[in-house]
Amino acid sequence: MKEVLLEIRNLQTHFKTDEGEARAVNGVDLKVPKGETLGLVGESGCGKSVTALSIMRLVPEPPGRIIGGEIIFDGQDILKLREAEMRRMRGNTLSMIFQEPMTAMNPVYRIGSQMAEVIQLHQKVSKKEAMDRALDMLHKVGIPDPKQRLREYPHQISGGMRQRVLIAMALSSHPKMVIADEPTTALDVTIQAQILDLMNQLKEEMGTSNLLITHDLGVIFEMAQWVAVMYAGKIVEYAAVSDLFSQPLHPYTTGLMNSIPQIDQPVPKDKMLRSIPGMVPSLFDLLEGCTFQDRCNHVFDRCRREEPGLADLGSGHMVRCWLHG
Amino acid sequence: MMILGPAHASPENIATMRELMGLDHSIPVQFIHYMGQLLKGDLGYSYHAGSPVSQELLRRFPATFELTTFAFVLMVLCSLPLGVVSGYYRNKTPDNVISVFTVMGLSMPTFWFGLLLIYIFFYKLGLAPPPMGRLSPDVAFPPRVTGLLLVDTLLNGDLKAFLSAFHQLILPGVTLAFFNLAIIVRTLKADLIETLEEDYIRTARAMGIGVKKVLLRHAFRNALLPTVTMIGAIYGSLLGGAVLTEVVFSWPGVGMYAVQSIRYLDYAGLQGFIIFYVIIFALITLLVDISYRWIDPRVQLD
Repeated sequence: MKEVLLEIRNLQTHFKTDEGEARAVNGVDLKVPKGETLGLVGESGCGKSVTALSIMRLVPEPPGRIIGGEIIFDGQDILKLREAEMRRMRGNTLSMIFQEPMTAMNPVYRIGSQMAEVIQLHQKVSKKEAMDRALDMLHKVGIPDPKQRLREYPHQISGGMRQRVLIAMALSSHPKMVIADEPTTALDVTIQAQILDLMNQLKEEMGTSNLLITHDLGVIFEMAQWVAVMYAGKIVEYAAVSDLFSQPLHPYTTGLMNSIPQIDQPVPKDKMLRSIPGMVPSLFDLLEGCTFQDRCNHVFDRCRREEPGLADLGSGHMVRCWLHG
Repeated sequence: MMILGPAHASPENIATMRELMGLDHSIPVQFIHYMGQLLKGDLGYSYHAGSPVSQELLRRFPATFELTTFAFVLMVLCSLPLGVVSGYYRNKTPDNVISVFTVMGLSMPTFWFGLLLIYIFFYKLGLAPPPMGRLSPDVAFPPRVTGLLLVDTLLNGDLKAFLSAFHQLILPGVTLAFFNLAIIVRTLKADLIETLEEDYIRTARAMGIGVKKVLLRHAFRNALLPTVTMIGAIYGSLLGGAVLTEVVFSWPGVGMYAVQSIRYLDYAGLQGFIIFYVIIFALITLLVDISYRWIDPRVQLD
């Protein structure tokens, strides 16, 4: 594996709710190598977005709180930084793109003014120069007639265009890493492909590392070099993309793969797609043993007694399962 | 009867008066006549004031305008910062302290609060001038140009009269502002809290913008829209006559005129006042709607 830009060790982020303490992120470990993309995949509510917000240190507090762990970014533990230092990092060396481009821009300011504000925040340039750089960035993300766009308000452009603007804004200070939380989920399919291509192209051009959060394994296959599968607040499998797709080890990963329709294979007679039986466990009082035990086809005694650790099977392929422990 | 007084209320005089006031016609005829005159801007004749209603309202309006605008400026200057502080420190000490004051303002009737201010600042402490209208009795009125004393005294170069007019404004102005302050602070606070949950606030934070700047530049303007509606409505209702406050401070404005009209059973005066109030209110609402365009670019005026 290449040099690591971001390493998370045993991250725990909890939320106080009326029903008790929700352990949204319950001991996450992962690594993002320099210049590569890690896909973080899992179903809704498994803690993907909270992991991302924890890295940005933007978990709403209260009710949320980072209880423990380390987030080593570019050689320093960002959980130990003061807020002012963290603020200088956000949008500068560490950027984030969100899921909903429609609501992610301030409706009352012009696009140019919002972009220039961010550029001036991190780069010591005049307003005019900031506008020029904003124009360059809009050009770079393939927005037609960028000069005109700068003068427009967010509601005047489409969702796909808005996501491009947000990408331009996030990349305007040449960050070392971009976190993208379901960046294409809210867009229609053709636009999705365009945005993903754009992100890949910019990653190559600018040499950034990406953490791409999605529930879509297809997107991971297209975009990522590494993949982490998350379940109930923990990483259950971590591997190079090719390894994971050729040889998924964790029963949850296998389940996810089986629930994807395959266009080149005959449909099974009994049903169209196989889903994973059961429900995600409660985040309030987690089970003893493996979190996946109630939905697993291979469950045996040990799974109910002890929780498996994340075991390294060589070549960076790690899995949290007693079948492979 | 009321107008003539018992001494002159002979049957002949009453009949003449009825004819003069148009009361000898049927009610529909009276109504049509009134509406017809209204379209020409004639609000009828006020017997108790001895002048046409419209003339009386116009004569008194500057007094009300001056008082309510003063109160309005005071109110906006205090409420916006208080609302922002409240929204930012929700449920913490600053918010709680502000809440105590705003609830006090909201739950005290204006006439009571006005009397309280007079009692403390005029009677006990002697800081404020007596609540006797727009100028101290020993100061001469400036020649009428705009009808606004703060302006007219300056045009006249009479600094002493200007200061007197300003002093007279303070207590009634504070009275009016205090009551309405609470409503604005609470609206702004609620909208600010809601706005701070928006996606674009999170984007701004993720781009590295600091909490204070996010609050003042990104959240404030978005939270302002409902507050501006509220402020406009309050200003409109104040301009239509701050009835109780004007009475407590013997302020010779349109609100006072309405009260006197009621006291003298002067229908024309009261009706005129109500129509005047409605027109002012509608005008202010229109201005508020137009101002949306400036606050929120998504609002289209067409």
